[in-house]
Amino acid sequence: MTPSDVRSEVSRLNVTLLESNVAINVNGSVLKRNGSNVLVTWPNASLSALSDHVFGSLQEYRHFLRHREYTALLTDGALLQLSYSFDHDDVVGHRLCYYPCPLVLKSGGTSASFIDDFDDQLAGELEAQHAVLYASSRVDPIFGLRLRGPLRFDFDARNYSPHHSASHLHLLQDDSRWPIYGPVSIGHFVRFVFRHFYPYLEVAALREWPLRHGGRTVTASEEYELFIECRQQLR
Amino acid sequence: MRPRSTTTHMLELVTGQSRNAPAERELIRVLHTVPLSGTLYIGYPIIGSTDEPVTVDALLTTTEHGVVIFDYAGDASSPELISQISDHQNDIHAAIYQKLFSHKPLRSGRILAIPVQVITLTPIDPPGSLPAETIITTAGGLRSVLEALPSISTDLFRSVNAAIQRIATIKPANKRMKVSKSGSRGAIMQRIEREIANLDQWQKKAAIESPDGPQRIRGLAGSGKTVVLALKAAYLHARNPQWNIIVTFNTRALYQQFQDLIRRFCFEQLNDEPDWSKLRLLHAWGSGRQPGVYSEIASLNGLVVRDFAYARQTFSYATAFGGVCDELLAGVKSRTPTEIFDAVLIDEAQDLPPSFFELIYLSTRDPKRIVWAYDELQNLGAYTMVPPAELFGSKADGSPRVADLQPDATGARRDIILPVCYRNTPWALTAAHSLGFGIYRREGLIQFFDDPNLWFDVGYAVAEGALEPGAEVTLARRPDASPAYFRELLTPDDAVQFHTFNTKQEQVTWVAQQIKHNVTEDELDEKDIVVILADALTAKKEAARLIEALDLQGLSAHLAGVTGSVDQLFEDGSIAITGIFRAKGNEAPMVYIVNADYCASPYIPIKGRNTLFTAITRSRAWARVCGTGSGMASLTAELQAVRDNEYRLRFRVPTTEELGKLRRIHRDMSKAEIEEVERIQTALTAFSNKLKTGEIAKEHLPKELIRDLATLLKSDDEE
Repeated sequence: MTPSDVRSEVSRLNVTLLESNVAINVNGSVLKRNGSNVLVTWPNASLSALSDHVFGSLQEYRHFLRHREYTALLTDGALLQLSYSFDHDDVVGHRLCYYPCPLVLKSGGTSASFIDDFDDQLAGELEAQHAVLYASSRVDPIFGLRLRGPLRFDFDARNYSPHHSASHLHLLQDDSRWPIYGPVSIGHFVRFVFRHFYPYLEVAALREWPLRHGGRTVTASEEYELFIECRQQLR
Repeated sequence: MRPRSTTTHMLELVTGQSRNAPAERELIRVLHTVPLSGTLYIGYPIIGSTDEPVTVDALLTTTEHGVVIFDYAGDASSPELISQISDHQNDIHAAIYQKLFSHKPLRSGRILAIPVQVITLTPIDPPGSLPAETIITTAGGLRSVLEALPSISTDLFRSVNAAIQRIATIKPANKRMKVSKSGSRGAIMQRIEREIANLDQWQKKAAIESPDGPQRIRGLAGSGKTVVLALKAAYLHARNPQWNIIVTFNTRALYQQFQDLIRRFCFEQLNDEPDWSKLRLLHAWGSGRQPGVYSEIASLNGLVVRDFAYARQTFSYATAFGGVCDELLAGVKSRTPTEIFDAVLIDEAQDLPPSFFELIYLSTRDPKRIVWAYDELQNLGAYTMVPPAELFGSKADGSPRVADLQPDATGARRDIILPVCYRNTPWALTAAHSLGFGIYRREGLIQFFDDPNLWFDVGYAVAEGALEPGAEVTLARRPDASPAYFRELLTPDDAVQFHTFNTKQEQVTWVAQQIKHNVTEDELDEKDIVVILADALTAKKEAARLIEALDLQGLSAHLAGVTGSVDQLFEDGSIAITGIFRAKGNEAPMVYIVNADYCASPYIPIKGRNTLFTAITRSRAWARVCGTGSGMASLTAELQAVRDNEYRLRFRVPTTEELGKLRRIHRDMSKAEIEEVERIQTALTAFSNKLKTGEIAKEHLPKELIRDLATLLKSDDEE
């Protein structure tokens, strides 16, 4: 697999998301080169900014939205972020994130100015929550604010340590790292997201997105605890 | 643009806030007796230094004598005073030197390539000898002092002006690392950007002239209005840090743009962040989250602040803001209004209701420093702005509060027109106007200005005939309404092209191939290119098709929109695809318009033509209008007619009656209406087929119907 292969696969994913009306907005992948290292990511990716916000916070979601830090924005406001890094043609890292929208959107995501709508609804929602929590108000709560955390599949072959498995899933908080058997392909990620979080969407192309198999990086000691496994189908 | 001033020995005057009017008059008088080509800035600029801002009384840039700074001193009669002046001169020199030194073109190795002189003007010649490098003179001695100063090259002169006008940092010049071939599109854009860096004299004047009273700024879209307002706000704030200054506008997305521009100008002038509690950016109305001018005026006067939900319910969607402003104005007038603002700058004035202006007037302290700016023509819907006499309401005796816009006592203008359109080539503008109105449409005009004089305001002149109802006329763009560089660098045939394709697939494939060529051979960056999808309904599908086609060329693309911020249309390394609405207010060197045939749809004559106008006027250099089918063929024929007429508009001016008829026939239909027409059309086609084949005989139909049909169709034919 080469950086161009990933760029192309992301393009195909974006085309599918648009054609099946699952995404409102997409950003293709660009190749950012640094010596023999190539990062394939959304155009606006600023990796330092990723750490400026608390993982899974409202601010982080809003920041990603406002700064177009995503590969695709889905109609329910969820974000998909897909990026891979290469050394020559070897995958040395990835960041595959499913970021659900913290709001139950009243008007679906079709607006030309999604962020303004989001902000308006968020402001209204926060006021309503406040009224419900702290006052005996007659406000009818909508309860549109959800407690949902992002899922992020990270792979970092170079920074392995006993507390930092090479491929892992961040769940609920940034320093929770569930070991994964090895690097995750676009297909594994897309299938996982659409089969588990959008079971009602009958888009076969997404549920059956082709898989690629890399090596295993999970260690023997990690295998003695709970970890995420995936077997390769023999043909 | 050509530096006209250097060839004709002309000293241009830019008046800011003066500190010492008599000294200033004296200075101007003397300078006018010397042959100088360049600019004299009065009360400008404020040089940010590490310690505190240094204000310069006057600054002269000329090819003859480089950069000369004037400082006025009342008294230089003792050695102590002279030593103070000398110190002060050193501070000013250091500040200017530092500022200019940060601009690479002005450096020669490790030193500044041009000499900077500081001259202190005093009423009486100083006694005895002066410290080294210190120049103190009276106005009378100035001429000989100046003549001793060396000249600078035209190139350096331009760079100095660019540095002083800060425009180089307004729009951070695209680095254009790719460019290696002279004459490539990338190299052409590099030239155009460099030329733009040298702010035109009109923009400069508008930015710095600060009359004691209301001031109007207008111009074509693309004439640099927002930049001028931002510069002005920063300038006023730097000069008057204690003033309560408001910048307001109608589109939320402008917030970010203004903030960025003003911050940059303030850093340049003060080396510091503006004090955002004094210089405030406020949306005209405001929302639950952000305070606005309206809500602030209401609460300061102790009146109810209405929200959008209320306004939409009480008035209509379109008149919501006007409604709440009218209501608030009545309330404010019934008491003594609280005057809270020292200066108010209003952008997009054409989108704001008249009562809003009166509210601002009542809330602004004397001498009512209110600046309002608008595009002469945002789109083809001829919108005329209310004249100032009506805009600000009337006094108790019925006379207008703002009677006219004559220059104030110091000569600072109060009515400024930005006549040069930097954004579009003259050919794109002419093509856009021609297609927008349907000038060369076989069936005649689609729409027209209510007031034909607007043609002059948008940069045309009569070449032949007369611009009068019923008369034949030929209009051509005035040469001075476009910067000269377009004619030097581009050709009409390359600037605007129409391409017709057999299928939509063929169309996107061609567009993708062209874009590939643009980013490889033509040395353009991905950021230089935007693809506009004319038909909003099919935009998503078309975008998907285009992303696929671009992928085959190894290119990435993104869909613009949804971020709610204007300046994020473009991304590094990725081609922007956008619908027509998001494209508004944005521009790109190379613009591809896809599915333009949609604009020829008979059901949406006005919307279609306006879409075409907006799309073509997004191009800073090249427009490629693409489409399929017969609709595209007829549009292409119209463009061909523009070309055959050498980018002149030749037509008969409609009479008042004809204008009325145009409006009646050519209106956009609703979805239901379109369906109705299509239904009838199907039925009529079947009817006429059956008549032809004899399945229905004329005799089967009522006589009256036949007669009516014959009369109606015949009379329409003749017209």
